[in-house]
Amino acid sequence: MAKGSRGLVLFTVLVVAALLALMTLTVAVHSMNSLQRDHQVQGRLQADFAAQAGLQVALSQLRTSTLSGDLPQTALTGGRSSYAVTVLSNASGAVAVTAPDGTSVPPGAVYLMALGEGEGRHQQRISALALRPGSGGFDALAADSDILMRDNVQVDAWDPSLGAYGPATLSNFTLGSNIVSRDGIRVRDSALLRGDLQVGSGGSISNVVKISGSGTVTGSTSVATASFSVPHHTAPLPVGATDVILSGSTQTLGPGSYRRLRLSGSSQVMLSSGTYVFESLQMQDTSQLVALGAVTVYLTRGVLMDGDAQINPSGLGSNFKLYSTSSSPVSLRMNGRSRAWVTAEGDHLSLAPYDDAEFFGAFVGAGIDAWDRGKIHYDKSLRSGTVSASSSTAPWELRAIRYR
Amino acid sequence: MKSTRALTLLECAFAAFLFSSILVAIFAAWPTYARAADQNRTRVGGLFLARQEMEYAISQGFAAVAARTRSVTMTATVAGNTLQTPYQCALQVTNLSPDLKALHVQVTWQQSGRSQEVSCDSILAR
Repeated sequence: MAKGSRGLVLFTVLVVAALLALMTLTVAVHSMNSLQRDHQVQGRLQADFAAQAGLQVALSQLRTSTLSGDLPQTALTGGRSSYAVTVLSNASGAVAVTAPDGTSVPPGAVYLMALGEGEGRHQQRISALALRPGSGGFDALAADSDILMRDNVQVDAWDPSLGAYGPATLSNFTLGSNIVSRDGIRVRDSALLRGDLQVGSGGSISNVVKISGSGTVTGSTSVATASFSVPHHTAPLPVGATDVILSGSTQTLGPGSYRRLRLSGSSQVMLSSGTYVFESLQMQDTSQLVALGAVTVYLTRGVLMDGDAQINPSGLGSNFKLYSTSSSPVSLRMNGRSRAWVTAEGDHLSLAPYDDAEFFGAFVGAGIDAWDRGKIHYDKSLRSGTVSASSSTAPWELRAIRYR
Repeated sequence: MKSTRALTLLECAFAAFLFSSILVAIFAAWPTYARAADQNRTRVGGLFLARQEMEYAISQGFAAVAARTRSVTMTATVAGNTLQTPYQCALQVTNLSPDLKALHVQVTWQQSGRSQEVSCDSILAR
């Protein structure tokens, strides 16, 4: 054996063993990290719902006039999570005040910051404004807590008394909001708003509105003199047990309660005049949901439209009322080249047209999140539609809910 | 030259012992890692169901929310093998006051003969 070969076997074995050990160590570390991450997710989950609990307790105390200050750290039923709420009241103030996180608190409002804590001391902060909804006064295209327009989105209004939607029938309008949180209204990229814009009562335009890139608002921006109310709808019937799932066929439904509505291919569902309750709507391809008369649809969950799907293709938005009954965030999501002609309303409902989708009608809900070439065309004939008026004795409601 | 051969033999014996020891240790560790990966998978399912159940409860609103239990079986395909995990989801509703209800969600499942759970709590106002 040559002198230089001495130790080669041992060296090779050590290298191979080291590689194997390294591989094993990598897998072990990965497993441990995954386990740790899952426990973090569990802690955040508990903290999230604990913070929501804090807001609900504060809201309840506001409604019964028993909220006298901050809520101390309180354990929830299971003992694994807790909440505490910081309260900044401007209920009897005359001018807006600023919360520690920069949120403008308008006169008549109460700022709430809930801190939830779960296992592993994971924390979640949620802020909100509690207020008594004031009178309306907005066009019925309005968002309560968030407006995001990006890419080549276009939002405009047309006057149906002048004809079908088109350049000749465009009309000025005001996109209303209750938004007072920092950067709560964002117009980015090449997004275009053909109309005026209102930030929430007591808000600061420079604080709330962020226009960047080539984003454009053609009209003026102002501060609303009062908040508006987005009613919480309750379905007249519980969700039914029957699914309506069609692929390439046609069916006529009568008023009543159903579960899921799933349409694909060239399916067509005709709705006779009346009130309907669905859990969710999902439409694809060239499917259509046709209103044969005045239809009111209550939805416990969201809407997903794709392809060339259409809701109420007759184009008469007042004939198709879509009320969300959800108490957690849901969306009317439109993808592809889908079209909808509806009056949509819901205190947790967001309007989200993407791709080349187009929404025609009125919308009063939690938020607007449009991107790509999504378009929203407000039907001014629905002006007197959906925004609710209320008085100073209206119950307290949570607005501008933000995860921190 | 004679001493060089003796050293190589000793070296080979030592190397073989070292290599086999490490291999035994590695192979002994793999089942532990496999169990950990399986535990992660089932826990992710449990967390998902817990969130879903709580959001369902909140979406029902103060007047309609009610206790319920349900069984859900989740199916996963890992390396061509179909793995099914049955979960039990329980939603408890407790009246804290005329205007507040406590919600408690508990999701349980069996993992290697041991009961596992995730839970979360919230409150719903009228």
